[in-house]
Amino acid sequence: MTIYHAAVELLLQQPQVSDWPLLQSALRQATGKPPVAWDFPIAGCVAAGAEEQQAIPPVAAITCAHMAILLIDDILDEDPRGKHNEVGAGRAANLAAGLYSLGQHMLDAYPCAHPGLAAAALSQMMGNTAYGQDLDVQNDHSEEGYWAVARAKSSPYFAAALTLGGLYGGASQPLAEQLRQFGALFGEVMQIHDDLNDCLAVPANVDWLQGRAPLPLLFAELVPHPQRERFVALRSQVQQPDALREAQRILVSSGAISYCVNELVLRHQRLQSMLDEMQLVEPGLLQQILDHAIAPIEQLFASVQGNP
Amino acid sequence: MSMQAFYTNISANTVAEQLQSLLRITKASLEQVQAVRSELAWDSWGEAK
Repeated sequence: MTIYHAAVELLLQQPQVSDWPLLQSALRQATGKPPVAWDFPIAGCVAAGAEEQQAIPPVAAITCAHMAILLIDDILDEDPRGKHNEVGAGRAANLAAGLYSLGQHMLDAYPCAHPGLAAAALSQMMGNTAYGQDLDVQNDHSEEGYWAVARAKSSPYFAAALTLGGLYGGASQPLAEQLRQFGALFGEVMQIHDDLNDCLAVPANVDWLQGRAPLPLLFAELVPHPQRERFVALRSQVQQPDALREAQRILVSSGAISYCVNELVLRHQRLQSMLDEMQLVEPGLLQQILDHAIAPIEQLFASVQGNP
Repeated sequence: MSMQAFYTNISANTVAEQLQSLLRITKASLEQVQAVRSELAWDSWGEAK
């Protein structure tokens, strides 16, 4: 059994779960679908010098948080795949509240050496993410607005996952703070990757269709490049394959993709420096996570190497 | 950027190479960029948003 499955099993054993069929079924559905970065608490825990089994409670807490974030996000985005379509927005929002509470309960019931710090890490994550989700739906098309949303919405989850893992691995408060900063910056990396992935998708991703401002699209809209007007005109037509293709070509030729790649490279360099500076017992898993994140960029650089 | 940071940048071959690579990406075909996306599923936290 993996640490993730052990964490879900532990969640299912909690009395408040067996008393609430909707919560129980949601957790059962999550068994086969680990959340993104579910292994971050393990990486933090092992890095601090403990066995990975010590990370089961924070993996459980992060799993609950992730499920809650998705429920709320889907309501806000009116996502047709969201649970709210099945049970109604009210019950879905209430389920999210129950999941947040269950995550906190797991940290209380299976405490680490610094229970106050762990509780604060999770509650800050929940509060900051909610703020970020609220900023996001306001759809501010500005460079500053983009980074404000990315830092508020994407960073807290990764930051909390690593911090909690570190705390359950016996990390000191200063090391837990270093792990938090590493996770926060890594959250920005994940957001940029996500934006690149979505913008290059065929057919057009909802980011194009709902007038959202992921990073490459924001660049192509804001920077005064020669094809800017054409790009803005194409944006409303991307449901047509030819228009999408032309708009995506402009993302490449205008420098929008290069800009995002550069932002990823700069963050990767900072993350590597942060990792090198941390006094970790076992940095291997964190290094693997970092290497994995930069792999697509190295692949792209290698791919264009022969170009003029 | 400080004078020292600027000097460090222009002294580092790796920085110049990186800028060249970024420039090459602007001249890449869409297919070339999308091939990387397809091959590596351009890591994202996808559904998590």
